[in-house]
Amino acid sequence: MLGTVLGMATRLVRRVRKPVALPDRFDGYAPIAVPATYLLLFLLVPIAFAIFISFFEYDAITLIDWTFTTQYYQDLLGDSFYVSVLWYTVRLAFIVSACAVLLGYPIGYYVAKTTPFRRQLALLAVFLPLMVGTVARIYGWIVLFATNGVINGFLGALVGVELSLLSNTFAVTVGLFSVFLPLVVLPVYSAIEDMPDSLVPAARNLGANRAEAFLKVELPLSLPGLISGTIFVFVLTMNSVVTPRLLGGRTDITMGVLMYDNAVTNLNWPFASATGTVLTVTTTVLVYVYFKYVRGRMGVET
Amino acid sequence: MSFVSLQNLTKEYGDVVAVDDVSIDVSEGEFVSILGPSGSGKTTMLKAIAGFVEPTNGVISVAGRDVIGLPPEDRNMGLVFQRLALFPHMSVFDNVAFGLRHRESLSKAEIETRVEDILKLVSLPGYGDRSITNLSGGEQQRVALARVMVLEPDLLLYDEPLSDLDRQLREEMRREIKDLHDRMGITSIYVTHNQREALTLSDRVLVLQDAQKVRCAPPSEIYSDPQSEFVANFVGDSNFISGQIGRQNGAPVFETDSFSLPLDDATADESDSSVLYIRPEDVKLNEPATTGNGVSQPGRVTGTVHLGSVTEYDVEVGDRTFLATDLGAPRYEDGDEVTVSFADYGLVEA
Repeated sequence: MLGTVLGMATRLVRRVRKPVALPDRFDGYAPIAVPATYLLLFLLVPIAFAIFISFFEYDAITLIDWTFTTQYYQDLLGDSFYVSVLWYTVRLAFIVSACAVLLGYPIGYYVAKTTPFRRQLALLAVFLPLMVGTVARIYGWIVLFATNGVINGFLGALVGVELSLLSNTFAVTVGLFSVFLPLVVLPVYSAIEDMPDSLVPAARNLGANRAEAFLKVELPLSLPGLISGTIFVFVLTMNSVVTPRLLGGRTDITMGVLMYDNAVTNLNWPFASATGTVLTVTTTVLVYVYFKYVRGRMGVET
Repeated sequence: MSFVSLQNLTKEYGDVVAVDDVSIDVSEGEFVSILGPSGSGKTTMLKAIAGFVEPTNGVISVAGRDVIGLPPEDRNMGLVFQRLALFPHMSVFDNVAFGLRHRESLSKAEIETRVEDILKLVSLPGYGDRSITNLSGGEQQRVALARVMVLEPDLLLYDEPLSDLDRQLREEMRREIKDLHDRMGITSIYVTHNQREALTLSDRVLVLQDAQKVRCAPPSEIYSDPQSEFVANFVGDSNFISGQIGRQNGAPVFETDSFSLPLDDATADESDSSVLYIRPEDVKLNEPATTGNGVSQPGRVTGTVHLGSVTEYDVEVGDRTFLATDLGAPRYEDGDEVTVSFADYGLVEA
């Protein structure tokens, strides 16, 4: 869809440009001109602007007082509260990614190996959460998890126990993990689906038992799918705002929540920008390290 | 005691019988092909031998060991897959060493020597570090062979390994397989629907039709004495004529409404309906008849196909059309009047 639009735009640019007749050496760049402009205008410029204002002081009336400062970065990386927010965010992303792998890989594997009818059903079940709006889905969890909610209602009636399920990291993890699960299931499913059916029999014929055939053949060949899935989940969790805010407790503040509160509630744009910068850099570095690690360890060509 | 023995092998999938009571004994070092059209149960037989399919009934023993119930990894058999099933994430070396690392407690150095040796044998010396995905079709084929041969298995199984290759490469690999078999002497079972591969590679050919064994004999015998219409048609082309067997002057003859042919087969019983097969290369045009009483019929060429080394003719004799082949370029054109004689023919079961 986007490709079609870009292709049409490129052709349009070419047609318009024809009479002007730029030197030939620009020809090779013409097709990338439109996407490049798009990225420049709608991604690089806003990000550069956000990073830029993060170095100036906040002013309650003019929003930005153009005095250079690195105070926000000192706070974010030095103050124990803000460091704990960053640490919480990273930890949450790890937990959610790990849960998504532990449950998503077997589901993806099952979906790839089962009968076409069951595959349809399983994929539908996995994708259903994505079709429900974020807030509606979260309120669904609240109905389940609340102190007088569905789960506690059952528990109270059956065993007389009441659990505190809402407003904690558990609720946030469940809320995020449930919606991000398809992002692991789908690439794992497609990686396993792409594998020729004869590889496992071949491994077994050569003397590997079923478990060894999985570990040495199926797992390494599906790793690229698993890795891309976990990177999606990790990055999206790092940047999550709504779910931690609605399902989390007072201490469940992610960098995203911090950024949101500063930008929207306090109107402290420079601080919000600095938070966003720290978050983006941290996410990029962690993803890069993870990528390097799996690539080096597993010998996966991605 | 034969080396590989299948007794009354049967596999049913619900109501469908995939393999129906097939028995065969293979001696050590023998190369046996299982030949049949698709759906005849040949791959199911192979899977049962390799341990991927549990037979409904029957006995499979290899090297004096009953293998039914053993998992595939404990059967010490090498299976060459139709689509090769090489591990794309491993180097050539790791592919070939895969089995060695599982099967025995070999030292690293021993594994390296054996892999190097086998790569030399399949003419891929020094290919160990290459990635599988960068190899040509023929090279991948050789790796697939090396991967199972390096284990020196009791039995080698081939599941139509050449069917995906182009003609030239197929010929080359066919010779290679034959050559490797001659050198290594590993007992082999080769599944194919390609009669050419079956006839040229094997010591014996087992022909399957609708899950049942219809013939098991050396290739030359299968071709010269097919015994059934199915085999005669499947292994090479044939002209079939129905008629009856009668006697002329005490000797058996094959009679149709328009001509009769003397039969060598003295055992042929008189019967009202029987089928005669004539190989296309035995249908001679404008040649003095070489057998029997020299029956020759007037005919007319109605079709000519030049296939390169041979030419195929459709020849009309009375109300029958015969397929005839002749070496070399076409000598007749459509509409030419010819005399037709039969150099050889035989009876088959209908």
